[in-house]
Amino acid sequence: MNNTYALITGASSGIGKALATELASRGFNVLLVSKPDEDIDVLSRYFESEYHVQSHYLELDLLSDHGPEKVHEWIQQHQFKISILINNAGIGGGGKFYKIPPEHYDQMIRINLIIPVILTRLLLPELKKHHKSFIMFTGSIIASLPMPYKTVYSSTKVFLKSFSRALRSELKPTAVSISIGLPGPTITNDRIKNDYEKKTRLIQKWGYASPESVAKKMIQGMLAEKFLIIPGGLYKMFFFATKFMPERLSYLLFGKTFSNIDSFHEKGILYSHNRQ
Amino acid sequence: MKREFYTLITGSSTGIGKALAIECAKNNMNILCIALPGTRLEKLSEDINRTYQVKTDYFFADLTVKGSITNIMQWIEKKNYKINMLINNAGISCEGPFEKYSADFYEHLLMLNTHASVLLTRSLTKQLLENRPSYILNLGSVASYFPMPFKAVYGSSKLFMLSFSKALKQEFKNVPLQVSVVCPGPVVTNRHTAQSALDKGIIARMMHMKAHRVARYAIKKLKKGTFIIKPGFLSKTTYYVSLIIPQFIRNILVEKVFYSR
Repeated sequence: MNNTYALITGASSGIGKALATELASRGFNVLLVSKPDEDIDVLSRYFESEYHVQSHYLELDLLSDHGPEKVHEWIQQHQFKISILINNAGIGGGGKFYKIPPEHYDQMIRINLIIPVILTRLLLPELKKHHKSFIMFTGSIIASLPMPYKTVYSSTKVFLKSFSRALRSELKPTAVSISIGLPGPTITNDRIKNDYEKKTRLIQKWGYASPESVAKKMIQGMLAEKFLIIPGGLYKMFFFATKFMPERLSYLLFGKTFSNIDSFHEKGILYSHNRQ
Repeated sequence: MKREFYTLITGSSTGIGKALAIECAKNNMNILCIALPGTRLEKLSEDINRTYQVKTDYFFADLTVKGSITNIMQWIEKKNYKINMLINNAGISCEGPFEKYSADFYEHLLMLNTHASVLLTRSLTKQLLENRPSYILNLGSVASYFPMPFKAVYGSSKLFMLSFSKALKQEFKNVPLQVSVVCPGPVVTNRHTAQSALDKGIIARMMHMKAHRVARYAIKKLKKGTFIIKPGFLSKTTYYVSLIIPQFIRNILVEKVFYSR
């Protein structure tokens, strides 16, 4: 796409890294935003040499003071033209509501919910300048049912789904298309990989996907201007099931999914900081 | 409700918050008012204390400022108040195209409407679990029922509160801590909203409710154990319509309605 860029937050690992790779392999220039010390420079150089695209990076903790504003300043300074914004950075975690430290909620709400809104607001004028632009959010399949023991996490994803739905309707007359990916469990870090390897039955393994396959579906869907992108047949079924079932029945069936998540506490992992 | 316990209400200087404080006092509950510095909380606190013979106290805090919740908790600890009911009422609203408001405004709105409510709830849950039976009442809105264009951020923040309440309710299913969410339609809270209701014509005027009626209904239903409290005709119809009509049809309708304006 000639001289425009795709900006990806949380691009150093997990789904973000896979999304950036997918875009670069399709010939898009990329701007990578990542936390410091995550070897984002190596990834950026790799994209340039492997896929012959322009790639720049910004090492910045989005949670630091005025994080999103700093991203905006960086873009203005270099006069990058942006036609794709991928609001991907986020953190997960679960457990009993009152056992998770408040600081974790503070970070989670800011990075999963507030920062995407601010970044979208700051960059929308730039995105509108091009004859076709895209904004995509990394949500979660959990957005289809607010889950106990992932109370705050699932609510941040419900927020993103609602926000992107409303914004899509609102921006319909413009050239900006809004999408949201709702992946299920994705093997983005060692903890999840461990969980995956412990599962013995095929049906349990079926629930997991690799970041690469998730990213591929998400980019395909985004470019086709789809709104909801749900990678994986199992989660499409879950999505429609929760949609048409009475909520009480959904909770009866799925409400206990994360109730044993406290076992993570005992093993010394209080909560996970998975960057998606 | 036991007399030594207190009800904590955020944003209680005006509007629904004030009405809820008065309504709770009428129901013989002791009141702790939280509102922005510069509001006339002393007077409200005194008035309630005199009129309804309940214990009252107040604390000034800007919930969007870092550390405000720690300050509130320290105040509660120092005064040794036992809280058995939390009303997460403080919030701000906005309507219009997404680009009408600045990034700073949205940060402010979200810090108040989502962040502060979650962190205050988290800080008080331990107390609430001890001082049984206990209650959490969150403020939603008719905008909680489904995403609406031109209310993208505000509406989604209220959907967040509904979702947060749903998940919390599931977590506290087996303990005597009741979680409810009240979803009022447009409410006449100050002269500005009263005027805008008058300007919009007869149907809009009928849809508006007085804050004290919302509060009375909310507390009545809360005591009965209702989860989603729907005060007024608009809230009830919107809720049931949102349940019945499939999402894709709803999206078409919503877009039609909003673009015809």
